[in-house]
Amino acid sequence: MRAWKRSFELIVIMVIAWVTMLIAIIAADQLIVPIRFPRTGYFMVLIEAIVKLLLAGLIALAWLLLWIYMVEWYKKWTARKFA
Amino acid sequence: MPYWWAACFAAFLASFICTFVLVRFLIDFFSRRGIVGIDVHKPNRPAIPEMGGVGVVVGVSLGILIAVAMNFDWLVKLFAFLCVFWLASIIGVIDDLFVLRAKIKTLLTVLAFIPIIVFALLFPSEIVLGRPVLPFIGRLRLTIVYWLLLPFAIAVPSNAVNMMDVFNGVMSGCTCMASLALLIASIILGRIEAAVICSSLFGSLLAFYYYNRYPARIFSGDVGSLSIGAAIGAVSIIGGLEVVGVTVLMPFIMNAFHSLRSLGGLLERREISVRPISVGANGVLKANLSMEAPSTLANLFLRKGPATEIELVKCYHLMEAVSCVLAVIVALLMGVKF
Repeated sequence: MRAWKRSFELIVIMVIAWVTMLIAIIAADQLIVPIRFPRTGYFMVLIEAIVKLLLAGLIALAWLLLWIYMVEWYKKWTARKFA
Repeated sequence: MPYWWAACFAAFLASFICTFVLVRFLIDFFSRRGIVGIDVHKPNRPAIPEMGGVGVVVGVSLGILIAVAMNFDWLVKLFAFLCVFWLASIIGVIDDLFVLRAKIKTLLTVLAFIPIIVFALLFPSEIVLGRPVLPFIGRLRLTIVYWLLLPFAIAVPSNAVNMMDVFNGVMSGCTCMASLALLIASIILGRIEAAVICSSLFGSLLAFYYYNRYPARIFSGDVGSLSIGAAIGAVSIIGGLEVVGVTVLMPFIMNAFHSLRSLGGLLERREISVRPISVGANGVLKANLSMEAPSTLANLFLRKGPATEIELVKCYHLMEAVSCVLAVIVALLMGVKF
């Protein structure tokens, strides 16, 4: 089996992971960075930073879960087709 | 020819020649002293000299010092890079000689980011942290997230490269391509110091690949893999090439992340009970098709059928070549804004 045939699906998974990483970065910039809480003191600034961090973390987690899902799909698919 | 082109070329040439000559000497030196590792993916399991990464460390350092001698304006950034690089290589030497536990090794590589912080605090106009440039978005000002991620900026590439140093020529070939892609990206974005570092790294890795390619005459050891990974991480931060750095390391990150996830944590090679692949009597490699097997890239590639080591190495190189193309696209997109 040639190298490109053996690695094609994994390269597609990697490219999807790369594209979704860029989309996640843009989503974080467009949706999370503009969030502003009424700044009545240091406490609210801290809360704003924590909320932004949590939301960015959620986006990162969703991206990682997508990546895990794709690799698990690949493992099951190869087990079915090539075992 | 602009001056910095000459510096890049001098760094490339010096590091290439130095590594090429030194590694030839190191093969005999480490063989005589019994510093060898077993090539477990060959049927006759030959003993191959280890710690060839010393040649890369010396070669890269020489190339960069020559570039500094040509232009002292680059001193701060290049010296910050060298401090991280040397620190990671010292950790690698300790690991090669005394075999550290996986968690200790990872913890030590986390500390390798300290020189960057020190230099950034001492020379804030030279090394700017927390202002990464992203494609379509432009320059960001990350006051919290960047500093939270910074400790991992050296540890992740360092350990990810270390985890992919499993077959002849995989680590050296893939990092050689990665350093070339980083060199092209830094030229596109006009990051001269990063271009000088990448030239030196590329020259040294090209020379090392000559000896490390299938069938390997020397292994890099942890001194090579940890320092090369740290070098890619450090040049990405110092040169403001964070997203490009992540993109060139995608196959490494994919291998490390999915292996760790399936193993359930950091484990030393000797501590892993379920092997991802096995070697047949004729040297053909087979995947462990169990769903519990670690999801290393080797396991994933081989799930489609057995292959020889050379065929498997080509798969790694092909995947890295694609990620390098993506990295250059990222560099081109970094000038594009919504």
